Amino acid sequence: MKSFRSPRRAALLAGAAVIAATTAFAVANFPSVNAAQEVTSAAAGDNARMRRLTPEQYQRIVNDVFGGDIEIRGRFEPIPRVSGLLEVGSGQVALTAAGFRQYYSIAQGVAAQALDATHRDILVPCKPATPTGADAACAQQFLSKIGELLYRRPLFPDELAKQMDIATKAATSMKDFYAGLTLSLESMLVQPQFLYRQETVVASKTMPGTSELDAYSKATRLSFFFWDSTPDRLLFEAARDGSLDTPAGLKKQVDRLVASPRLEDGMRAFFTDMLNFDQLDLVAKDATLYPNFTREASDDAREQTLRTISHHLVNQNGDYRELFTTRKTFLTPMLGSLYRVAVVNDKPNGYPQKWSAYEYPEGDQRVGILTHASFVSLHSHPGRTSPTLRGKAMREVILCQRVPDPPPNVNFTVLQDTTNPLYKTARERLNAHATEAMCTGCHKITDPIGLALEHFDTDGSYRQSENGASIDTNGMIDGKAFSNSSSLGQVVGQLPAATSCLVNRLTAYGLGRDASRSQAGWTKQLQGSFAQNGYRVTDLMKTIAGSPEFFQSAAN
Amino acid sequence: MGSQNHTSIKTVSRTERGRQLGLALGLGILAVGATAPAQAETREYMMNWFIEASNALPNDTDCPQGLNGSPEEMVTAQLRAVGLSKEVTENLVTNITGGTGGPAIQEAIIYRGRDLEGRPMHAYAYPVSVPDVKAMKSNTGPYAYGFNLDGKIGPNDFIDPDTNEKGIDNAYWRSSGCQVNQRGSRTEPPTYGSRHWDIARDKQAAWLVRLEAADFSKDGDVTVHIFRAMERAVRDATGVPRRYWTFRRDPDARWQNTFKGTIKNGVIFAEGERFEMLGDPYGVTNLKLRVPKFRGYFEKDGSLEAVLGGYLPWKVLYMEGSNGGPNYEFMSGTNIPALYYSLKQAADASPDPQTGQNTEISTTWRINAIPAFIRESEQVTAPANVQFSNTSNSRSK
Repeated sequence: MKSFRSPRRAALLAGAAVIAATTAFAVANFPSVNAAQEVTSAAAGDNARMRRLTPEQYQRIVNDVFGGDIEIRGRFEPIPRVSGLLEVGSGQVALTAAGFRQYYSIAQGVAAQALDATHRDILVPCKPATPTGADAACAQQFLSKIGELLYRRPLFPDELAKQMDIATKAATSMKDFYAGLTLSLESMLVQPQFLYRQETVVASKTMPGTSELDAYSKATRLSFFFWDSTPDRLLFEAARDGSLDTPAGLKKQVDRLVASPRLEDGMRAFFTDMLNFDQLDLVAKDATLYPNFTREASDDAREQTLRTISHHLVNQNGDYRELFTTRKTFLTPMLGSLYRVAVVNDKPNGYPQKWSAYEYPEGDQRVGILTHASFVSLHSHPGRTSPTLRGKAMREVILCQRVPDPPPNVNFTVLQDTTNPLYKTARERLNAHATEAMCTGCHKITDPIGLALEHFDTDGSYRQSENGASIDTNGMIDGKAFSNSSSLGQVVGQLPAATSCLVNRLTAYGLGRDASRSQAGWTKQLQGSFAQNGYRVTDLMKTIAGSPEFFQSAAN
Repeated sequence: MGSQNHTSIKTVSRTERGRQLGLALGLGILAVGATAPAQAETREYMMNWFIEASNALPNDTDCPQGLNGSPEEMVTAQLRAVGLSKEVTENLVTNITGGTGGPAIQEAIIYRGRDLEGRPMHAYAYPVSVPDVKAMKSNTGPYAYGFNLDGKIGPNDFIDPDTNEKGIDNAYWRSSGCQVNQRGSRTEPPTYGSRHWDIARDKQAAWLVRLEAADFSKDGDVTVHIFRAMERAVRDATGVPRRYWTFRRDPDARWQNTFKGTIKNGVIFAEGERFEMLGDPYGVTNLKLRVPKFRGYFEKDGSLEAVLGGYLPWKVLYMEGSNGGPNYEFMSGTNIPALYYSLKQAADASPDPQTGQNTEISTTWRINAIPAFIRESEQVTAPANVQFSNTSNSRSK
């Protein structure tokens, strides 16, 4: 946050009064769950949908617009998970007063860094007539350019006028052109037009009688779908010149987005969301029992899975189903220590860990992303594994199936006592627990799958036995038998639910909501296309983004 | 273990160093070559602890004269011996508890030596400037960990508590075994050595152990290698070194130590030609052992418990203490000039041909080593086992 010396305090207060007024405007216009409409002034069409930026999107946009060295100092209000995705939840969340204060504090830090002496010459496209006063022409150039990137469309005249007013008054009273711009930038960074991805619908040009997103909203939806960030210059141009509204223009942009290295950002963002990896920040293990599971190991575990996915789906354009059977992955010495695998690091002592490609040998049980420490540690307890949680996660996250919550009066004593000599393994404890009638039904759904992963302890390390008893990993899912984690991966990959789940999740991720009933036919087509293309996820993304349905409003 | 001397490095001329380097490189080739033959089984470890092998008996029965006193008692006696009044001494000594004591007492204790005219002398640089009043009590117990290094059974030798072997040469324990902070056991390491190693381990390249045998579950031949790593140990969530970390072997010929021996009833017995390791000056600097012997035990938790014995120049141990200066004395209660006399008296090997004074002292070191991976430094530029192409992008456009 920028600090001002005493002589400038009065000027600051004057500027602050201006920004306070605009902040009040922002607060008053902040969307709530039940009132998320009409936030744009003089909008050309109806507002279709609003999604709050995730912390990762906020960071990425700030770095894309202002530079990779701009730091985000603060924490964001959490976003609820809806229909299995934060991206859907982001469209159903309001902002509390405390949350707004956080955004404002972060905005102050970003604006101060973006317009400090190091960055201003790069970001401001002109030199002010005098640095000690207002320069409306230069301010307008900067605010128009930055405003388009932040609001993801050109500013409306009244929006630009409002920001110009802040910059001019603050620069005059503070006798500092850049201080004026800084206050204006702070203001823009807390506007709902920035913090929420607002989409505007217009009458469809390709499907008469229906409505679709306007060109800038299309550009935004595409950009976040493929890159998890704000549109770039070429996408804006395509929106501006109308080519994005044509099938050829749309295809050209989709091909460009897919060909970009930034596709990896988008792919990682989607799978981070789908696999609930935001929750890995909260995972802790009993340090006495699992001393190798440190914060760094947990971070590396998440990165391992995301690298594996990105490499397989983006770099190799691999079959999605092979994510459950691949022996190829990437490891650091930290993970090597956890997995008991030799991983050489050639970085000097104290440097960040190096990632090395690694392929598990034939016969090894560490097969597919479900055996990574990220998945098995996330769906376990701090001091023991949980076949139930793992099976539930498999059902809900990978297969998009719903597992009922346990009743409130369940007795977990048998499950929790890992020292009972009568029940040495998790399977034995679960069998004893499931004798209670109220538990049996759900455990049949979850446990057989989770028990196949019992060779992986709660921290992700491998174990051959539990309490001296050998671990039985045999089981069955939807009528198909498996004997261990390796064959489980093969079975899961071949389940129709696994691939249809991916299609549904990816569609919902792009739309910001589940596909509507009227779009059922479209999602069925997508599933057919996914299979036809050998379950290539990038091809699926292209098909989704190339469909008119991708830009339809939910009301259609 | 306190700071050690650097004299063995400083006094080597460039020419001599060059000759040693050539020899070392030659030995390195031999040493690397010696590790080449494939063994049926290999076990690899990182040294978690490397501390003097301590064996304090219950109720201090091995120190019938009592233990060497606290730092306050030792310093008080030293200052009174050089003529400071009781009041002045008491006033100075109250400042040393838990700290360095300040410049006044440091000056008094460092320069407590006297020349022939009675002028102050640096007591650590010139320990003989402090009279030998047998201030350091020796250990008289019958038991100490170690090996019969000279093949004889002498009056000052111990019995090893693990093997019951007689003739154990561990004169260092005889000399320092009644120091309060050097008293420990197999399961409770002595405080001073463990504290030093715990700090040094974070700063120095890790020390590694590799065992090679046809079948560790059966009696038979075994080879023990002790290497230096190119990386430090990394701590886990409980603050102790992380298990199963991957280290690269430092190829420097000086740190390639090989012991040949047998496994008998699950216990490793091995002997080497030489032993040399480089550590951090705060812990063990340059440790060289002559006629080194190794005995190791496999623990249930996968670690290796071992003792390493051998002779080293007793002045190295003295310099280790004296380099620590007053801080070492104030923290450990060790009377450094008295240590000089004690080590000199206890020295039990390699007599000087001119004076007959033994120049080496027998020692035993306790090792606790945890499972690790050791890889060759040639693997530096290669990934762990395979490299995936990032360029073979078959994505359809």
